[in-house]
Amino acid sequence: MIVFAVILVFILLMGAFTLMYQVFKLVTMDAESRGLKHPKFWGVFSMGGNNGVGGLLLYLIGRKKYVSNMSDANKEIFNSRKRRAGISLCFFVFGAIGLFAIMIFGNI
Amino acid sequence: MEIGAKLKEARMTKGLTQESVAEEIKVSRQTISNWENEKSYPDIVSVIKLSDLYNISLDQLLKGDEKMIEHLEESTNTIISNRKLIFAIAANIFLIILFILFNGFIIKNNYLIMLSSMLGVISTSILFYQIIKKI
Repeated sequence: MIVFAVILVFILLMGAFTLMYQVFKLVTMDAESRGLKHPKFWGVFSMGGNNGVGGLLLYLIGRKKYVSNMSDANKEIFNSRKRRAGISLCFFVFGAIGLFAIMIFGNI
Repeated sequence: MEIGAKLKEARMTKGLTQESVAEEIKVSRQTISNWENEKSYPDIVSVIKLSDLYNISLDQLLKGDEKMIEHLEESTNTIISNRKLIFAIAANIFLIILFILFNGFIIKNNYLIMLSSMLGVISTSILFYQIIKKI
C-alpha cells in the first residue's frame, strides 16, 4: 500500500508542478502579447495567491484594458499549452483521488 | 483608420493637450497616451466621453476598427463568454452547501466520504480549468 501511496504522491506532485509551469508560461505569453511590463513577474504573480488561483484571477481582471496582439504562430503554442495544462490537471486529480482512496480505505 | 490615430487627430483638431483631456474625463495622462498609441483601448464610457469632448460621433470613432469592436465585445458580453465558468462556480457553491448540510450523514460512511472528496476534487479542478481557459 505504501508503494501505491508513494506513486500517487509522485503523480500528484508532477501534475501540480507541470500545471504551475504551464500557467506561468501562459500568463507570461499573454502579458507579452498585451505589451505589459515585466511579463515574467505576472507569470510568477499568477501562480501565487492564498487559495491557489487568487493571483491568476487578479491578473485576469487587471489585464482587461490591454488588447492582445498575439501572432498566429504564438496562438498555436498558447492553445497547446492550455491543453497541456488540462492534462497536468488530470494527473493532479488522479493523484489526489487515489490518495484519498488510500487514506480512507487503506491502512495508512 | 484605427481608433488611436482617430483620437489623436481629433484632439489635435480641438487644440487640446493630453493633460487637459485626461483631466476632463478623469483618467491619467498616461492612459490617454496608451489609447492614442493603441497600447490599450478605452472602455465604452470613456469612448462616449471622448466623442462628446471632441465633438465627433461614436460612429466615426468606432467604425472600421475591428480590434476595438473585438475589445468591446469581450469586455461587455460577459454572460455569454463566461457561461461555462459561471456554471462551474455555481456547481462548486452547490456542492459546498450540500457537504455542509449533510456532513453528519456523510462522515458515517466511508463510501460517501470517498464520493464527496472525489466530487470536491473534480469540481474544483473543472473550475480551475475554466479559469485557465480564460487566460
